[in-house]
Amino acid sequence: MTDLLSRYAESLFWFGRYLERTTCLARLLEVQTSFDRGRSNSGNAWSWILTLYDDHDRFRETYGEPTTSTVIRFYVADPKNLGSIVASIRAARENARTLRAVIPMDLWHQVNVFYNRFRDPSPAMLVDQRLSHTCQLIKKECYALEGVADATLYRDVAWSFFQLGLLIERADQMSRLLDVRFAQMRDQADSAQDGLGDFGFWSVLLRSVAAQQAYLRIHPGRRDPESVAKFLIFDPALPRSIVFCSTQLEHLVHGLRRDYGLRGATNVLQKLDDVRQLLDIASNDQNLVRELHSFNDQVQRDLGAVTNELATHFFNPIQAQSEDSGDVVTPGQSQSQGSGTNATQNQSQT
Amino acid sequence: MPLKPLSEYDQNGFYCEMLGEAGATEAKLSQLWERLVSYDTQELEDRASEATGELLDLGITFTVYSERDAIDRILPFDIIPRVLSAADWQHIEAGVIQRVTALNLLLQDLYGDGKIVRDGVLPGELIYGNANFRKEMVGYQPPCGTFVHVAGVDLIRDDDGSFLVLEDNARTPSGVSYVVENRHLMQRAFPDLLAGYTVRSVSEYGERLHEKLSEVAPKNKDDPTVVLLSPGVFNSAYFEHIFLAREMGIPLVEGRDLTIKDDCVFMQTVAGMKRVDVIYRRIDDDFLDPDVFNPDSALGVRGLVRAVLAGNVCLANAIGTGVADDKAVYAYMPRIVQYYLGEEAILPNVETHICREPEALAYTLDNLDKLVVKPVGASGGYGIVIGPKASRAELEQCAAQLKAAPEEYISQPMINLSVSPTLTDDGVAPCHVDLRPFAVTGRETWVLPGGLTRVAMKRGSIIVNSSQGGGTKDTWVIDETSP
Repeated sequence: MTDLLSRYAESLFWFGRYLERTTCLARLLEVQTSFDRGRSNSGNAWSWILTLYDDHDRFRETYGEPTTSTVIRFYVADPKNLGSIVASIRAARENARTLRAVIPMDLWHQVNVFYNRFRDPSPAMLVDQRLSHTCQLIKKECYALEGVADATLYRDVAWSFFQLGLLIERADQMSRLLDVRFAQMRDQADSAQDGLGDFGFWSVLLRSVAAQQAYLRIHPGRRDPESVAKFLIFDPALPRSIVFCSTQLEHLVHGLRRDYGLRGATNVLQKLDDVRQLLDIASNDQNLVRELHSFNDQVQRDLGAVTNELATHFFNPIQAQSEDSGDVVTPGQSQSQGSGTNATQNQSQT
Repeated sequence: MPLKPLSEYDQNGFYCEMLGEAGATEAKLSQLWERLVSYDTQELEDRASEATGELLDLGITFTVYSERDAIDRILPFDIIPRVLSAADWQHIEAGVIQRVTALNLLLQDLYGDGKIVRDGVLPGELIYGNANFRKEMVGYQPPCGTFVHVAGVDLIRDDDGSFLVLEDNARTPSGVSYVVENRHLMQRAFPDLLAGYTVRSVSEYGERLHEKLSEVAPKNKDDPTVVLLSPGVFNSAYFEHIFLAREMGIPLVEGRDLTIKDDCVFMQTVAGMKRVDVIYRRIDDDFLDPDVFNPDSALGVRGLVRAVLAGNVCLANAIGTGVADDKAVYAYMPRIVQYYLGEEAILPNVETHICREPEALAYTLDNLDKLVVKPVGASGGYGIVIGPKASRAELEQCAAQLKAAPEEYISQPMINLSVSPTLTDDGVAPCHVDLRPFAVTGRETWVLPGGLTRVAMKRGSIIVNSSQGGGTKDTWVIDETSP
């Protein structure tokens, strides 16, 4: 079906993104809870998550100095934090709601029940002893939702846009996580702690992206920073690696052009070529781990550019046309296309 | 407090949809009645609340927005069905088809030569002074001559069980999604109640609607592109818009998805602009086109009326049908049917006094405590004064309003709406019901078997509108021979 409304394509894309964002955050918090237990009672152990999503300023406005419980509230249950789990579930559901005539009933049913269950988490669900369990439930609901989508969604352009959103978010989240975690380790190494050699630290990182078993199978007994980073970036068989995501993205966008004749796909492919090139160069770079920050910066920028092209050619194409003819371009009402929390600031349903 | 069991149900002297006329020796639907009585009231309650939970999960809801949150509400659903016999249905179906045919002929005439006015059957000021008469549409000839593609004719039942028309809805009647979803719900929650009955299916509504809408595509285009135009997620009937788009397999568009070029309508898709041939619009006339109607509307499409008049797109329902379902024009419907079809109306009106006529006004003022007074312009049950239930002060206020603007009102005798056994907070009670059958018209008219039964869930209330606390029931049209 190529007569998919542009607005639907955009909603499918954001449905995928918010779903993936929820999954990533829930898994991250689940692992952090177990990791944090018995190690530290200060907010410091949690404040790196504020760095991850670039949220320090917004957080301080409401909560002041970070403590474990306020960071948790901010990321799980604060509806005003548009990057929180409740806000992401809500955004995923709002997008799905506009898609109800397009997506299978089972998929809508799943997302609606999920939303109704977690829309307003009780304080009891967030206490220390329950938080890991709560995050695990949320993660499982996300997996179930992804599973229903996989099992029921018709494989036409609608599926492609849903997957594009999901995969871009996944790659972006991975890149952010690597960036923050490696910076954190280097800081600790500088202050002469056990630093990059901390076995537990890498274990947590791998678990927070569901890659622990896979990594150990490929690298029995080893856990050095360089091989962890390379595994998470380049392993073509790891479903959350950046290379895996970019390969899938290319495949999907090729399909849009080849199977459905969508010409705008050509422009999107050009941006994906940039990502591919960046990854090729990085895979041969001996200094990659030391230059991880600039690499990750570029990955995130390139993914942003891909999203921009999708918006220009598929989500708001009227504006693209009027740009060509020199007309005044009105600001679109699209959902923001960056990632992380700033990205969630506006919703198209205004 | 224990719930009153079904066996203690009392129809309170009204015509009962399940038991028949008051005082009848045998229940009209004795077998179904026995089956229902055999349930424990608590079990009925349990199954009902299970069914209700399912409505929420499935999002068969309307959304109430507050500043902080959006709350999904379900339309109250009663699990005891309302049943129509095959003979009753035959009568209703014929009556509705006749009514819709007359409405379409009336609109062709009013936007054409206006013969019915010149012949003195309808007063001209009633039509041409009516806010819902759209002068922009004068001379417009829609495909197949059809103005009213989807109609909902509200029927009530008198003490002796005869059906009367209460209101014609010829603009954008809603509720059909509940007819279909209620049935699906019953099939899941009460398969044992349905067992053995041949209940006429309501599932093909989407298919039939799509077929009829395709028939009215401009220039007899084969395989036309049909879309449903909705005001968007904030509209209280949004679920129904989703339902209809889904059942027909067509895009659910909003005004911002459409553009007009050279008086043709296009929708923005990922593959570029795609031509649209038929629009089932669920937006009122006023909001359709800011160039012609309300200039502040952001819901519609600029230039849409021109595209319609150029014959490049067909709107369903056509613009300006509101003049025909007006409560004042309603009073003339029996004469309108006679005028165009040379037949008696199969479904009679409720006796109606048009207060713009001096004699009718005098009669209304003299009998205010016995009559129901309705403003002609309002819908949704607002502004209605029920004489026998009104206080002295309310009656005095009503009289003053009548004298000040008699043309704004009609009055009708108090009709005892039939009742149907309904599960309420204190057991099974006789609650008043009406019936809205849905008729779909392209070249010809098809009527969905059954329709929406609305039930006044408040004790003693006769106002069934959902905006006033009404609920719905599954409506069965059954074969006489079963079970």
